[in-house]
Amino acid sequence: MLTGQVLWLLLVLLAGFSTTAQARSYDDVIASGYLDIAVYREFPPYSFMDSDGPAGIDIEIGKLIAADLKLEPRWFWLTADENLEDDLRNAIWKGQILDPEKKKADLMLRVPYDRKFSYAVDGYGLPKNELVHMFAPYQRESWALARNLEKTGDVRNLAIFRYEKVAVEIDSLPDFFLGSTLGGRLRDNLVHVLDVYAGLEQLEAGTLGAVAGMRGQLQWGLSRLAGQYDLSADGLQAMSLRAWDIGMAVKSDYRQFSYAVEAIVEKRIADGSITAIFQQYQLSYEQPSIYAD
Amino acid sequence: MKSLSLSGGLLASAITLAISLPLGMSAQANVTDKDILNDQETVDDVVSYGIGPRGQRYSPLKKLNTKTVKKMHPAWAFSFGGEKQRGQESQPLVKDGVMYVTASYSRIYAVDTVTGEELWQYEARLPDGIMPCCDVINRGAALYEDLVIFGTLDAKLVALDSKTGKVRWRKTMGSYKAGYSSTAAPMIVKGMVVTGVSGGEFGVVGKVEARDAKTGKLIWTRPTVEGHMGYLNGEENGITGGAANQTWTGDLWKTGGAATWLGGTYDPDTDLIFMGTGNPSPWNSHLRPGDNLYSSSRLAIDPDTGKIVWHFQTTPHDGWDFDGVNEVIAFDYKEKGKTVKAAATADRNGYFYVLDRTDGKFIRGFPFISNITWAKGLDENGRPIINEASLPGNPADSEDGSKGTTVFSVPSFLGGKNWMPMAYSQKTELFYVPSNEWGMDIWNEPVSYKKGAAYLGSGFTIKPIFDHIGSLKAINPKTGEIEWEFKNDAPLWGGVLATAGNLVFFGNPEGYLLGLNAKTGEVEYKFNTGSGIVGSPITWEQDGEQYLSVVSGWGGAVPLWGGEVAKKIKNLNQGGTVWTFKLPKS
Repeated sequence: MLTGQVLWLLLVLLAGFSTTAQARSYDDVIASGYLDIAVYREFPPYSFMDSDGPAGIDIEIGKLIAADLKLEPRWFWLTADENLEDDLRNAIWKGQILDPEKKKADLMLRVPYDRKFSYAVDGYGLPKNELVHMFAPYQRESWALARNLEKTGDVRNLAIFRYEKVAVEIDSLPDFFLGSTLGGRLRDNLVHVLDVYAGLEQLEAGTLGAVAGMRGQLQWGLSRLAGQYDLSADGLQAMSLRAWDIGMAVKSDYRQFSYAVEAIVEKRIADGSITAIFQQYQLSYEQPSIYAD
Repeated sequence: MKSLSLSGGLLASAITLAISLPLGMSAQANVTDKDILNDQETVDDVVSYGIGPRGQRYSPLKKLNTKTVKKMHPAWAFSFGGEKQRGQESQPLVKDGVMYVTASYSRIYAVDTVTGEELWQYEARLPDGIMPCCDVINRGAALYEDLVIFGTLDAKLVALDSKTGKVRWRKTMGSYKAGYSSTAAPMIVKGMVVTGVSGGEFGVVGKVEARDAKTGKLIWTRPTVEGHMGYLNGEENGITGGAANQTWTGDLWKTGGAATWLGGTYDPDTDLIFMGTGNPSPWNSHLRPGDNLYSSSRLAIDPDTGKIVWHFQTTPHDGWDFDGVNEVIAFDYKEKGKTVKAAATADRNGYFYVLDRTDGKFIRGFPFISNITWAKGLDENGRPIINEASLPGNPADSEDGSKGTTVFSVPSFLGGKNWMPMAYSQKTELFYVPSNEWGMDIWNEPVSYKKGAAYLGSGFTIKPIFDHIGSLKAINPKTGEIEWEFKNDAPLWGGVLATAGNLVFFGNPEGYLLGLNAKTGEVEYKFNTGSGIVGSPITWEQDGEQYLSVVSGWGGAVPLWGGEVAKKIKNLNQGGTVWTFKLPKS
């Protein structure tokens, strides 16, 4: 994929950055006895604080990796920025703008694993994400609709949302999709919410026909509601990206560390430990696409 | 973190002064409403952002003039210190021998104007994990009575005792967790402190608020998006725009954007507050058909009631990120023997507008940058005639996973003119506009992710159009003619000051404080401050000498965007210093 010229530039860039790098090498991490893991702040069921402290699927997976490396996990709580590139910058290769020490994490979880994204180029044809290495997919995530069947009946396509309201997280892909599909005819029935849980509250209150969002979040949210709701991807077939893999990231000059983590993740997927973590949070587990067939 | 120190030297001089003054008179007089209204005429102080409520940034001082300015030299320099540098977009204030100047990371300093010695400093304690957009800048403070008032990155309004730097009151303008922030200088109108609020993303709705300046108690609040209720003294005070869903579809008005992130100006003649509003939300304009009022607009607000008296929308249905926040400057001009009560504003979208400030009617408008692509011109009401061929594509068309077509659009989303305030000279009757000549490639980005989820973003790359990007222009508001232009390699990002000494002062990212001949644009003065200038200069007179100050410290939004612009700025160093100059007596 990379031309010789671009690769050369990449190496120059990496050489330049490694002199100022404060992210840690494999040897430094192992010697220190701890592992700094970046997870999203207030992002259930993946990473959040409950009454007993840090909780969630990514917290459990982080603990598992740290334990296998005989390290103590430390949490680098990341406030989501406008997009993944920003998050990678804040957590992995540069540090946050307001932190004068520019502290970085050794490992970031919940990073989509997509070769098209990893090798994307900017407007000049230069690699956009050359400072991070994305690896170790551990889950497949997808879009879904949680329906109140009393309102939507047996209509499985989107036409029902000309009559019933559907909640979407503001500025999310379901927001874009449902706002523009069918010539924009669902637009007046979109209810914009700050997260899917605000939508599920309204679903429970009986004001909505459905909530659109990530299957993992909807499953976890529905498991805490009293009523019976339907969860499926019916009607979302025309979305460009219906499912995607979730993996991890390290700073690109610490590949040795990523190989060690990757081996652990593969082993833990194979022995069922990851599946058990998802079950613990009432989620079904779907393996990443590289494990398919 | 807050640290206080009182200089021995100042204490001694304060005692001396106290002895020499009649009983009951203090060395540091309180700032009154009258002082603020007369700020432009009183040359011994600068008590407001914009040097007077209209924000003309014009000083009648002329000791510094085209003949004498070459002799101007630095009197002192004051460093903000610490590791916290980044962009310094502040305009200092001066009252009774004390300068009040804000710095990056929500810091403020009181400095002796003669010696440059620090009197006190206050550093806001910012919560962990706050994520301000763009840069950690602050643009300045307001003075009222014995208070210094400024906004912080976590959207708090803080009033400090001007003598000690101790907190007198502190109010929350919005939740930083919801995306609110504050970087603009507050303004004082009729004993009230009037503020806007930052936060263009995350579904924040813009608002203008007025508080009792002495206590911080909220008097009125006016949301800037159609459909939201305003309040006066805790009572409902009318829905902005009358009702929801006139120019928005569905429930999008609830999260409509239109942030008032640059604050405003006030015109005592018409008794109106002028406030600009940011772009509408969400960014994808294809999801929100309609004009989306009052996004990307200028609002005139009655300070007594908080009601919108008129509005003028510069970019209806904004799909280019053309915030309409730029300052509205009131000025009078004579035409056919009659005085026209006008107001001028130079928009991000590349057009300069002259409005009737009594009713917001469009008088004239014209481009102040070259090669505008997004519009073919303005119609007789000042509404842009959109160039359909240059519209960014609908991201929904990228559903097949393709990048879609790339559109080259001028100006770039950073605008023909961004936040940096222009100046109006009452002597030359020209506006001095810090502008930038650049465009952007925009395309839809189908491979994009946000917080662990697939997303459709838009990609952009800013590109220069000419060899230079920055351009300071002397614009005649009566004819639309550009009388002269000063070209600058890097983008201009700092404010302008015009003086009766026929000089125009401003700084550039290369670090120079520049003094230009107001009539010809010739460089009469040049001094390098060691870091890029993105602040706004002021001038005042003390002990018979004319002083001039500007804050130096490169940063702001420009360094955050790479591409070909990066080539022009990559070697600029950060800083954080107030430079003060004066003309020696002899």
